[in-house]
Amino acid sequence: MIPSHQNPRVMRSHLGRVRCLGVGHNAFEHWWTERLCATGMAPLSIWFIIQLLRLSDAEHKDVVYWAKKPINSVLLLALVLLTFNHMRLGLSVITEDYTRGKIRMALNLLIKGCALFMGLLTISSILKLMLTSPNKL
Amino acid sequence: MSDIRATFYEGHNSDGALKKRPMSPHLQVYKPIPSMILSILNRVTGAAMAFGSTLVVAWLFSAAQGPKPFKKMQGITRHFIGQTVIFGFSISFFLHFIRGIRHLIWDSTGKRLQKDEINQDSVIDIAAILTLTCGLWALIIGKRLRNKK
Repeated sequence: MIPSHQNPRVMRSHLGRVRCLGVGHNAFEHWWTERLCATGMAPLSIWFIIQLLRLSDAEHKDVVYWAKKPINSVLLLALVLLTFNHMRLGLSVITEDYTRGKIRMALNLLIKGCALFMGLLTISSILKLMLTSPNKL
Repeated sequence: MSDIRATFYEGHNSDGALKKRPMSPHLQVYKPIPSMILSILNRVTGAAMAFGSTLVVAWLFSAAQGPKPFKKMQGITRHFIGQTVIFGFSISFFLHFIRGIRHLIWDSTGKRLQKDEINQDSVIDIAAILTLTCGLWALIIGKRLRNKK
C-alpha cells in the first residue's frame, strides 16, 4: 500500500494533515482567542460598570427601558459572548495545569457546558428584554 | 529543620558520607514578591469571577422575568452579604483587568520583562488596582449619600 503522503490521490497538503496533531493540539488558537476576547472585553466591561453605576438605584422599568435601547443590548450581547468565551478558555488552562486524564476531560466538558448554558441564558434574557413590550414584562 | 520534606533530601556521596541534596524550588520555599503574588491572584480572581458571573447573569435574568423577581434580586444585591460579594467582585475585576492589560503589553511589545522591571511594574499595578477600586466605591457611596438627602 502506498503511504498516504506519497499517494497522488490524497489532495490534502502536508501542512493540513499535521495541523493540530502536536501536543498542544490547537494551542495557538486557544491562546490567541483568549487575548482577542480580553481586548474586546476591556472597554466593554468598563462601559458595563458605568452603566451598572447609573442603574444602581433604578426601578425595574428603568432597567427594561435601558436594555431595550439597541446600542445597550448590542454592547451587552457582545460583552456576554466575549466574556463566556474568555472564561471557558481561561478555566480550561487551569484544569490543564493541575489535572490529568479522565478528570481533566470531565472538568473541561463541565466548563464548556456551564459556559454555554450561562451564555445562552444571558443572551436569551437580553433578547427577551429587547423584544418584549415593556408593559408585558 | 523547618521543612518536613527535608527528611527526603538526605543522600550519600560516592564515598558514603552523608550529604544534603538540594531542594527543588516549590511554592513554599519561594519568598513572596509582588509579581508572584499578582500572578497567582490573577488566576485566582479569574476563577472567582467565573463563579461571580452568576450574579450578573441572575440580575439580567431576573430583569427579563419581571418586576417581582427583579425586586427579589435587588433584595439580594442590597443585602450586606450581597454588597460584600460585589465588593470582592469589584476588586477581583480591577486586578484581573490591570494584570490582563499588563499581559497584553508584555505579549505585544516583549518589553518590561526583566526581573527588576517586573517588580517595579507590579507596584504600579497594585497602586492602580487600589485606586480604581477605591474610586469606584467612592462613586457608589457618594451616590447613595446624595440620594438620602
